Amino acid sequence: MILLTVGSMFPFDRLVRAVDELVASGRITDEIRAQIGTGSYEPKSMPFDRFLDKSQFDTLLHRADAIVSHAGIGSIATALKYGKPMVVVPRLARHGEHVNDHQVATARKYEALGHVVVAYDESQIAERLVGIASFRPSPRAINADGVAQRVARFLHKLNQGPGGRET
Amino acid sequence: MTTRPLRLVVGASAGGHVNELLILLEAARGLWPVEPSAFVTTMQIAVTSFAAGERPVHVLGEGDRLKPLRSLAVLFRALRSAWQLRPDVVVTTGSMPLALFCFWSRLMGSRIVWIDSVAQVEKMSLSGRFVGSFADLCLVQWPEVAASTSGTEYAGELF
Repeated sequence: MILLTVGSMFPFDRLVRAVDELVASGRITDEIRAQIGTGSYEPKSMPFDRFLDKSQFDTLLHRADAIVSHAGIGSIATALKYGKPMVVVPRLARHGEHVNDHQVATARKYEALGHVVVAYDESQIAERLVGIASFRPSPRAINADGVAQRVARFLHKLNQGPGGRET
Repeated sequence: MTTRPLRLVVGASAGGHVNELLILLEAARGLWPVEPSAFVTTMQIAVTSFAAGERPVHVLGEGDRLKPLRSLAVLFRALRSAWQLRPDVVVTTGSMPLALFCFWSRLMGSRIVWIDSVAQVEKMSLSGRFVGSFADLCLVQWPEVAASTSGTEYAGELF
């Protein structure tokens, strides 16, 4: 099963329509489950939800062999956390899909690091999906502790700062 | 004269920003001098992400520069939340609605910690540059971005 997700922020009709049409034309034969947000295009050839709560999403995620998504960092991180192969399609400002084109930069960066496969426009989606289930994303090393410690240093200084806070 | 504990309010927009905040809070366990006393987010669907218990979770709504009217509503809800929560310090992973919450909180005397999203791989977000002008601590998640943006630090990444 391939999980299609567009995140919660903006609709992404271009991606949803492209995948739906690929299913309709038989170019995608895998089972697809779609999360389409507030999009106005309703898929005709695949089951979809507009929003999924965390447990629904997690269930589908565990079942998924691969993920197709916008190049949102939340989706990419989730896929990497579970080692799921992923094709990302960057949202573009000229289609009203985001406020700017930063997802192109995100996609390029994570592609260069071996974390995701990128379809820079919808015409590339079908070919990028071929064999995607065998793509092994390189694991991402993160240092959340470093961030938490830096903020901790700030908060401790504030907590012991001159004057304190009076009740 | 007695001192009360720091009133820490943490916040993030629904979606990736909330995920980044949750990872930060997980890593912060036992490190920070206080627990968050309230949470701020942008959509009802994100509310259950925080194990808030009895603590308040305020929902600002979504707004961005493509929807000025909605942004105006968010601006007012951010003011109302800042007024009601009266944070001593705000820690947020963005985005624009949280930047507005930071703006009002700052005006009411709060300290601000802004953590720009890991999605900003080349330069700080517009919200980040706005909040960066008055934040007390401004972190970015790519060393290259810190190197090219004065007033920011790289301390690690959440994703």
